[in-house]
Amino acid sequence: MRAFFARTWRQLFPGLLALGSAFVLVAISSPKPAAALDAFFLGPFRSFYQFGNLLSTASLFLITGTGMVLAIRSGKFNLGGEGQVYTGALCAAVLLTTIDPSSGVFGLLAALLTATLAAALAGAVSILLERWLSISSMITSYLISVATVPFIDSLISGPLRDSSNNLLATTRIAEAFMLPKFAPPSTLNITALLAIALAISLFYFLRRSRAGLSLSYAGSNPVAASVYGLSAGPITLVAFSIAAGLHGLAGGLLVAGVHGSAFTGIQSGFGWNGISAALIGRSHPLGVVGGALLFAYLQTGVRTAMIHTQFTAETGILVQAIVFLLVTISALTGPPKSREKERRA
Amino acid sequence: MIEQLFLSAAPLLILTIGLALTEYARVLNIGAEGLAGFGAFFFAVLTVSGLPLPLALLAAGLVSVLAAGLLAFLHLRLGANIFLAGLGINLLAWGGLSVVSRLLFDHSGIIPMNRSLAAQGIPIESLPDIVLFVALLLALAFVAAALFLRFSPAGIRLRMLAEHQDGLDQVGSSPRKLQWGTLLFSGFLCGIAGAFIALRVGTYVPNLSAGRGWVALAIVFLARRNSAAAAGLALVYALGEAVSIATQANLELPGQVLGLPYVFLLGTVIIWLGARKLAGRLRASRQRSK
Repeated sequence: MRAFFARTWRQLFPGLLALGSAFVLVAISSPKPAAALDAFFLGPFRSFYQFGNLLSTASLFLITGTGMVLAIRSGKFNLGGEGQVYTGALCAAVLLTTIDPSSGVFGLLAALLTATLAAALAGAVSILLERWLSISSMITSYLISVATVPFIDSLISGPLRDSSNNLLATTRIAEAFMLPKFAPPSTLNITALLAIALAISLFYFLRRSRAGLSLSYAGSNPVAASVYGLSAGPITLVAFSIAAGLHGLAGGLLVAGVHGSAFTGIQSGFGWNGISAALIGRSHPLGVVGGALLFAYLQTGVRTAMIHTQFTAETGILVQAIVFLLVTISALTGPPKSREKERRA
Repeated sequence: MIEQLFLSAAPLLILTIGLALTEYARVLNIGAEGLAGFGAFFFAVLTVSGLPLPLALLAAGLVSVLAAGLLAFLHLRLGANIFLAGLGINLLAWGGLSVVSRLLFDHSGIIPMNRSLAAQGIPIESLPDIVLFVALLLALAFVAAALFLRFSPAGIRLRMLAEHQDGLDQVGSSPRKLQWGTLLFSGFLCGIAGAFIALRVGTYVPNLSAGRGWVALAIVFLARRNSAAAAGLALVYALGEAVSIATQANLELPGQVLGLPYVFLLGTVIIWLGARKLAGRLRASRQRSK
């Protein structure tokens, strides 16, 4: 019983911490605390539009978060999520404005596949550099990403820009390519189902398949895994590429499901929130669902509170900061027995 | 041109030392970007408040020490994950500094320092000389840190901690104390680096460090505990930055070259390591044929 409560506490702690810190920050930072708290916590549920957008954002965080979980389980860390989402968004936007709209679903699938493959290629480069030249994939993924972002910025604001629009955005894709919305006017679409399917697939892959088990063992302890003949090499390459590819897919879905075009900064936050969701979900393929929902809720709450009160976006960042700072404190979340052992040691 | 390269590389050098020391101490400080942000902001705030320049620089470093102290406390005392807590420090700087700025100045934007510096008897014309002098001090600190790691008892202990943590316990040194000291010192260096960037620009703007904390982290990983390589990579990044600035004026799409410093950095490491690996293979095949 005690173990059950300890486990439940550990699982709920990050979420409670995020909500608690949001409560305190919202209350002290707004001149009208009651209105701000109401808008922040209840606003996302007050209209179907807001709630639908919350789920839509969560589904994209879930896809990038699932990619992050896959990378972490393979013993790697993908810091290039933002650039990979941007790459995917650009590929999808460019292809969907050049392909004939009569190609319908096939054209859309081709664009999403290209978006996934382009980002996967960036991930593969990082792993290959690590394999051949022993350069950390975490660092190369970050460097490739930060070099990619301004380049794509310049393409969108330059040759690919829709000159008939005041925004720094590509031409809007044909309506035939837009994913059908579940609850208009919110942006909730089929991405939500796809994201859940991906998380569940990853769960079964890691639990049930030989490749998944090899990946988990080799990722957590490569030396021990090699003793048992489990080589991580090719699996890690594929896993990291898929992890990056999922970020590209999220970028493609962001264009086809939400915005209808790629604009400068469209990727902002999707990579980092994917990392946050994965870490809050303790790198568990199903735990990341809760992490994605939590961060989407916080983001939607901040937006709602900003519309209705003098609440600022920075307060939302501060909530995220407090969660990151405190979420892994073992004194609060560690099982009592292990703490006792640690003290004795 | 050489002076500009040196000025661009100086804050990176000092950030790289800070991070390299924590890497040796097995407490890699991911929060360098945020700590530099704290340093830049509080340097500007204190300068505008009338604190003399050298004191403002030191105080900016000390504010970042406090933030690094929070990181050290959470990780070393409460067992928080250093990576996540470091990301938390970056976010704390990003969100927190805007909130503090709004409280102090009623906006979260630019804090110009030129007038305050002029009031202290430092005219704008003499600022480049001061910046160059501080950059020289930072470069000297880099050399001193390399020598400290190689020859001083504390440096040897730090290297021992990096290679063999248990060994340090056996000779009666406390790894925990060393880790505390290293994290706090890295906070100071990151704060000074941030303050230097603000001094060079003469103004504080949000996100002034512009990813240099992350670049320093990349250099630490890429240089693999080789001080000369770290200094070389900082210069390569600065060269990329200079080329990017110089070519922007002649391009229709200036954004295309903004990523150039990162491409330079990664490209250099790939060519360097690739050539080394190739040379090693050639040597091995020659020995085999003999």
